[in-house]
Amino acid sequence: MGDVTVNVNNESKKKRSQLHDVWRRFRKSPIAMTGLCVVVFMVLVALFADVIAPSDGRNPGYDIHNLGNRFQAPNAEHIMGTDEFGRDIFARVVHGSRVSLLVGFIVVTFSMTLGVIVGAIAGFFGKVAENILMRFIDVLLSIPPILLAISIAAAMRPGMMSIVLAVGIGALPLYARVMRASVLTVKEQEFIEAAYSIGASKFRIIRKHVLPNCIAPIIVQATMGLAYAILWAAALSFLGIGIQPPTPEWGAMLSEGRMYIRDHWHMVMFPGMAIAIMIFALNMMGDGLRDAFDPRLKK
Amino acid sequence: MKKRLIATLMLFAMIAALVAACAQDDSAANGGAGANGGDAVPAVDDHLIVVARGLAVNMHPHEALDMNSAYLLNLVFDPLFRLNYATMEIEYALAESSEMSEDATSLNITLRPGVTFHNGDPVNAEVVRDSLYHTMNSPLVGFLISMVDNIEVNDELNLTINLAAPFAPIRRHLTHSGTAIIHPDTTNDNPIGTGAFIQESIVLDDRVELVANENWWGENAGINRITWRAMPEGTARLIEIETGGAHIAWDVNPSDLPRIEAHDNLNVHRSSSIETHFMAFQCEKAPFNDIRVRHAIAYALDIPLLSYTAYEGTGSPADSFLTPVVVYHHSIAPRAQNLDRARELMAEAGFADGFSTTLEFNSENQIYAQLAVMIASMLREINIDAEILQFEWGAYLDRVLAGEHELMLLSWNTITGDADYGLFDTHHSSGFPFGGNQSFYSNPATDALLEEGRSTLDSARRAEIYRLVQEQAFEAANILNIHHDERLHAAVASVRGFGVNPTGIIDLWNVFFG
Repeated sequence: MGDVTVNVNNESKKKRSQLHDVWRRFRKSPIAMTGLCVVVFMVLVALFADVIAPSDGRNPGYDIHNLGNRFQAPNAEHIMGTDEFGRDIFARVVHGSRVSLLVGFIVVTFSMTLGVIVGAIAGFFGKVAENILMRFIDVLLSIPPILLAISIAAAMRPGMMSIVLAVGIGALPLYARVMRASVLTVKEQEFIEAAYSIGASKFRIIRKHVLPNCIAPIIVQATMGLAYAILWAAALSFLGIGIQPPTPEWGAMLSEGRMYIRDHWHMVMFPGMAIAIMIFALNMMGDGLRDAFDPRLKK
Repeated sequence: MKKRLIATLMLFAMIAALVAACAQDDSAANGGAGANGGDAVPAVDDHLIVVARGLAVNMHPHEALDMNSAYLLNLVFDPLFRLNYATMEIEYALAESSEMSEDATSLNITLRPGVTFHNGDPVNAEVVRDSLYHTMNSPLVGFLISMVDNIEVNDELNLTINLAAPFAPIRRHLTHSGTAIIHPDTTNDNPIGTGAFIQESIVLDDRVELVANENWWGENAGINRITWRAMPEGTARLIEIETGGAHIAWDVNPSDLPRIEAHDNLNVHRSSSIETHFMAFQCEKAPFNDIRVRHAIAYALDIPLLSYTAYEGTGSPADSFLTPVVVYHHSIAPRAQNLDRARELMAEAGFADGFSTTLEFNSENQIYAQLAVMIASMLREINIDAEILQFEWGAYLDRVLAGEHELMLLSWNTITGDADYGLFDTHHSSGFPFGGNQSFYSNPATDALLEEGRSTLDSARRAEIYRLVQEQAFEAANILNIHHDERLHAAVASVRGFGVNPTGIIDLWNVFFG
């Protein structure tokens, strides 16, 4: 914890070097680097989806029907085959990465922001504030996430917004708890006491001293949370209450293909693999980050 | 570190290869002649095992209106009349004979003598009257015989049903499971009917056990016991009978037909149906109150292609709101797809640049998802951007009844087999929104014809009336009929006497093992 105390005195310079340390440790782990590469690759695919699988002018690239071309097994022209409308599954998987990543990022931003605020207030102020906020979080935790998600999705118009709310609220307690736990340890540190003694306000202490020292576990949690969000969004879309067709969400593609699974395995194989690879990569990256942030593994 | 990574990746590759190999073995076994040939589940003590989508929502016949319930209620309860599955004509069940007055306002019924309920209590005119009154008071199924004014008990076995207004198809309405005759003590947990089977036990959302009623008035061909299991996924139901877990798979996916046909030990049982799938407009909302927009959309859709693609060549493209097996069905070929005509009409209506709308259906229906995707794609051709929205069934129904929809997919079962049931509630202005007129269609001429149709006994006149109604509906295009369904069931070869009824209801007492 030595360098953390130094932080207070010479913040900007030391912070850079701390991040540098983290990156150095992260880089050493091949598993983490593999995860990172896959994730970066997926993000690039998502960004350039329109270039990889372009629109035909009227129809978006993922919804070009060709009924003379249904249920083609993977071949040179359609490397992942075609679906029940003759749509190219590769194009749909590519565009699907955009949907999944977008949902994942929005959900994580939403639940992380709220969770961090709730957790920080509860952890730092304690007493009544903590009791009210954390009991509220406990209530959220006690609701089965799939039930919560289905209720929200059913009450609202189905689509991106209802998924974000449903999955985001479900994930909120994770961030709040992690945040509260780290605030509790940080706020007992001597440098916080020092900050008090020189007359810093509570808001300033939270902003300048508590938050930066609690951010590591939250970043790790967010990486894992991204995987969680993508998986839940896929589950809700599989059930038909998430992203609506013809938008190619991976979970929805699985759902469409399940009727044909015995004859046309490629319809579920590729979206399923896309989900699996994405989640696996995010988890590898998350594990790597956790290790890299852990000062005990510094040497 | 690197070596470990490579080893891990290789392990994954090996597992994947292994899984793929196993999958191939399976499919080879299924296609291979004789491999599965003799593996039928043995018929022990004439015990029939059925896998179906679900169990009854309610085993009280007057408290259920869904098909899963109707299948089971038909086995445990008897109505006064039944529909013959081959001819769709009326047959006698608990009634032995009946006579309609000439002005179609009263129906004399003589009951079958000596019939008892499962608990031994006798069925007499008084019990039947009370049961019918109970139906009338049910908020769910009361509409089936709401035209009944009062019921007179003449003696032990004779009663007269007096109608408030002439109503020709009353006997057909009395074939519905919602009008089945119940013992006064009947509850969901303890259904007491007169039917061919007695409910022995039930495991919630899993299975129902039925045993044959030895004192049944009818003839049971040879099933002693039925286990009715719930299995929502069509593919899973088929696998269940392929692997010998059951004898009958109720409703199989159209896409699985070739697989069943190629299988040595399985038979497909197909039958035309009384169910029509359609897309309805909310005709009270702009722009769908403009008939040109509705016609434009009709010309934009390729109905045969929709029907053929989504239903894999089963059933037929819809040529009316009524299916061909319904009495007074009148065939009108759907408008052929004509995009130029469609764009012209859109321009005339002032929508050359199109508009945005929503296309809704219930999320449980996978095939509707396919229809919706194709319809949305066809509508893009005339610049209409249709956003697809799926809702859970309850939420969907609420939206539709409140008229919040714009374009919607739904189906209608003309369960009495008579044009009145198919057309009155869905096309009469008194039917919206709760009666079934979800398109909010209103035409005084149609209203008058429909009213005349139900009060006329002359079948030539009724044919004329319903022909006109179907023509008017086609012209109005408030509903675009897409597909006439086909009932598809699969059974192991040893199941005989399995007659599929267009209504979807199957009289399992005719089944035997051979």
